[in-house]
Amino acid sequence: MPRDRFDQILLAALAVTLTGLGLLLLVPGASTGQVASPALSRQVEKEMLSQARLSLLERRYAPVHRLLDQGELSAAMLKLEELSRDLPGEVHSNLLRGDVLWRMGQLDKALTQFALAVRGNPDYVDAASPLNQRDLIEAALTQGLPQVRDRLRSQPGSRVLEQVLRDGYYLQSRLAGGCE
Amino acid sequence: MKIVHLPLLALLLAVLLLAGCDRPLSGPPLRIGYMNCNSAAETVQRFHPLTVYLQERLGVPCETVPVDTQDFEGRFAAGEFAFGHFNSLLYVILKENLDIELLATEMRGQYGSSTAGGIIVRADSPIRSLDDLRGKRMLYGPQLAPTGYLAQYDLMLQAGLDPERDLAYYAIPHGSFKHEKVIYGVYFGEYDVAAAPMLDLEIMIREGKVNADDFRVLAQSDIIPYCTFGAAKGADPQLVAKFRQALLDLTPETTVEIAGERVKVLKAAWIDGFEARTDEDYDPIRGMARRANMPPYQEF
Repeated sequence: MPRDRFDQILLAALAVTLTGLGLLLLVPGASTGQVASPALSRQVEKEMLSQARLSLLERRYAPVHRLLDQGELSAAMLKLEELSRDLPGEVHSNLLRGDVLWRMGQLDKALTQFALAVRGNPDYVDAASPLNQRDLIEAALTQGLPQVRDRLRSQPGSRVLEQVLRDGYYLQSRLAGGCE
Repeated sequence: MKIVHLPLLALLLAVLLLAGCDRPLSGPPLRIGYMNCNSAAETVQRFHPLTVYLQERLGVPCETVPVDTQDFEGRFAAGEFAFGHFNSLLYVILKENLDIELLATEMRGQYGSSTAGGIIVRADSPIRSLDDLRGKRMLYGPQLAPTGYLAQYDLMLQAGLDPERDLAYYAIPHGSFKHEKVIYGVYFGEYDVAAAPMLDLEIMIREGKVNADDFRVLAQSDIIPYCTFGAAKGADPQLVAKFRQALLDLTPETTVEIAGERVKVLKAAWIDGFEARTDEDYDPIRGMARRANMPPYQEF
């Protein structure tokens, strides 16, 4: 029996503590911290989607990478065309097409493809992303932009070349950290 | 209202009504020659909307004239048409012989206003290189096809092979759809090797007729300009400028009305757009034609 007010406070605190412990044991997962905040949940979901996408791209585009490694550029272009049947609108095709065209010396067309890829997925210019292709895009810009400017000087008013130039400036801006 | 004003009112009404009507285009039609790819009927079906568009833009009546590839130079020289659409080898020939003016180059496929020729075998073929082609059976496209004949002929010559002597046999398919027939000729094993335009192969893959893995590309030519619009030397310079601009202004959304329907001009013509190119861009074709002893540099 509580002898005084101090004993009553102690007993009340003990009851609150025991109740709390009981609740923690009864709620599943509560003790392991598995109930995440909505923000954390979205972060995990985003990470999972990103991993799944990376895995899909690696698997589906592996034949193109193999052909590129073997220097079979024409075959790589044809394989990309075939993949576009199954993955229409997938901008990874644009990125790889840009890579092939750059290796073929078709710099203006490569820049157009890189711009399409980056507009569709900015991870290609994110240094922290596993999809990062900054070096490739920078190299294409370094070689391609002066050539496009020269051609535009000899063909003023060429809408195609003007668009390529705009694509080039867009890529430069994104590489420099600019927004859309 | 006074009765004297009535004739005046009627005249004013008539003028207003006439101004609101579309005036029919008058004068002799501007004939535009289009090189047949497969048949005259297909050419008319593809390019009639483009002709209607040009008619609207130029403000003169225009007529679609399908032309066989072999007849193009003769008919152009005879003045049958002042403007023409043809492959890039024909442009080189017409430039050399008739001094035609380059207007714009057609864009289609992964290489835009350019394309290439490839030498292909089946993926399971024992042929691994151009040198292995000696004694083999080869299928070519039509002789005036820059990426279905000339480019491959030249690739072989540059590799030290003479198609006339080193192949066991070579043939060109009859009739229409020659480029598809060439590709199918190898696909079904009738021939060992084919001269395939890379654009046609690309389109067949896109349409699911064949797969990329069905073939091995032994060699691919330089990337050269694709089909081209040109104007006769004596054509009205203002009309030429308007014609060129009309082509360059075309977008996938451009439509014309034909028999009460809105038709997309570029889609109907299987074209992605037009690009302004320079005559120097065609120099690689000139190099190929010289090495292969083909028109316009053919010597006997």
